[in-house]
Amino acid sequence: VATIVSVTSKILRQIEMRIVFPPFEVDHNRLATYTFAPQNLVHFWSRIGSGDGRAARTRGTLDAWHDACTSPSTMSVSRLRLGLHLVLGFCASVSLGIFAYAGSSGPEGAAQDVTGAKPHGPADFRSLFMFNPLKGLKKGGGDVYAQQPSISGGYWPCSECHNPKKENLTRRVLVKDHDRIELHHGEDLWCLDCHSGNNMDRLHLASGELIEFEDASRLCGQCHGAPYKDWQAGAHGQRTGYWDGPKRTLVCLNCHWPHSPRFKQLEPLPPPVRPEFLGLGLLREAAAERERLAGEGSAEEGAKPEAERSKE
Amino acid sequence: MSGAERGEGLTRREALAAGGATLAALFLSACSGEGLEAFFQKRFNELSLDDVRRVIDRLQRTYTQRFGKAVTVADTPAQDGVLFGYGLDLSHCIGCRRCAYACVKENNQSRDPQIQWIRVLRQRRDKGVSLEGADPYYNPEKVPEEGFLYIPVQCQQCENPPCTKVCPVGATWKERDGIVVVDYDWCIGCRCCVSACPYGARHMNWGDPYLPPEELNADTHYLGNRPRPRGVIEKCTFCIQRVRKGRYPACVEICPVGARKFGNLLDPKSEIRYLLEHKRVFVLKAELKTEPKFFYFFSA
Repeated sequence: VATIVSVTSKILRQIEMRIVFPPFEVDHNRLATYTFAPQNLVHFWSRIGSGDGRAARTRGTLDAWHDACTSPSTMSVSRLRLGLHLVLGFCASVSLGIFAYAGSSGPEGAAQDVTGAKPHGPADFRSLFMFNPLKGLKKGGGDVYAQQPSISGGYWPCSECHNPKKENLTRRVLVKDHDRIELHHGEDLWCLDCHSGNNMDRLHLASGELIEFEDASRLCGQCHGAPYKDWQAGAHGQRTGYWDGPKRTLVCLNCHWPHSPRFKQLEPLPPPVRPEFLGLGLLREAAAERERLAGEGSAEEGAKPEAERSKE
Repeated sequence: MSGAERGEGLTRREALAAGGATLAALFLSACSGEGLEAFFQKRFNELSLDDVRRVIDRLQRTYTQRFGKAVTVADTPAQDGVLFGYGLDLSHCIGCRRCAYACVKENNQSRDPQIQWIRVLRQRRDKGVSLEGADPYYNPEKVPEEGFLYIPVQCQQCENPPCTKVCPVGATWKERDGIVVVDYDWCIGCRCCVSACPYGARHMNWGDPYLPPEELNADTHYLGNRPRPRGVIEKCTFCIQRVRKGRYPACVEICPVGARKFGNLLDPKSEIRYLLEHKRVFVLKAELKTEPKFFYFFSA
């Protein structure tokens, strides 16, 4: 029984579920500040909320975006009864984490302690440190690139809606569709500078050459030559793996949302303990207290210290 | 001519010798075999291969018993033709402190009293890269903030390290691959190196390090992240347990903006050499001629 309780409490600690009401904007989960591009979600909402005869338990997944965790995430959206929706996010690089969230949930732990007395440890930010830097790497094997996150919001292929013959190629502000995409990129760019008007399933280079979405980095490199060159040499962007062997390299879109590529602000982890507060033994006391509680309580209460721990 | 031969009973010298021998005998008999071995353990870089094996076996047993899970203590030596160098891109660093906490997790620092090998300093942009008045305790809602620069500082792995020179017992030295290490079993905790280091990179275990067993990183190196006792100095080792096996340090891998770069300075094709050749790199406190192998640069 004790094992089951402890395992359950561990799983529960990983799951954070909230029921959400549209319209909403997903800002961040616990501490990792994952910023999902809201337009993806909103589009998905309009799709499942459009009353297209699906069952009450409509479920779908979409690739979502965040810029701290630097790898693609999947979200599943379930429509429950009573008009409620459940969004479950699964972050691919935090391989154990399952998050569900909506709205702007405040940071836990990070900015709370302003006295500088409480020591924080990495255990307070578990989800941040759970990613696997060696994903897809084999010692002696070749370099790999991280999977590029899909930004199509669950729609694919684009040609399902876009018919090249009916395409309006005049430069304009989109108001009917894709109007949630706020373009903050370059001085005077618009969709067809990167997307191909003749084939919406592809991007195009300045030369007119059509490229797959997965090769978007080449497109970025046309204008951003210096960072592109640095990136190829390993001097720009995140690399993990082996300094003397195979490396896992993130691609442009893992960190830069192409429609608004500036890196988003993040929550900092707490500052170090000020010297005047060093050695108060706060963590030790808390641990002793937890043990005391666990010793006193029944199996049910035994799960409580775990929950408290994750809050610290 | 001794006093005994002259028939005058015990001389002062003999009395002292006898007393000392008795004390030593008492002390030794009070120790277990292992304690005895630990007491007479030599400095790590003077140990024979057999001794290293024995010491490491003993440490593994001790740690495994103490933490209740299998702990490995490696003694992976430096590779030939390798000199480690580190690059940090100040135009990308956003001061999020993920490196500092990833380091604590990887390197088994004491959680309380808190020890962090990486200290991220916030400096006003108009002051440039100056350590004067830089603040490690900044705590805004979000980083980066407008008008500020973030300068993470950790051991600079100097080629000409002042810290190793002042150690009265030789408990700290520079390895062949350029990593400055500490033998925690030889350190006497005098903190001369702490005052000699111009970068504040050495940290004293003032109290008993508190490290919950479930948070222990069991993959350790003798000269790196094995659990430390109270009263010894510790410092960044470029994650010696990782880099000697070819991996990147933990801080490099966690950095969400990819500001941290690492590689072999002797390999012309390495990332760090690319930086040295293509960026205008600088080191902290260059005027002290400590020759750090930790290079800062602005990529944009």
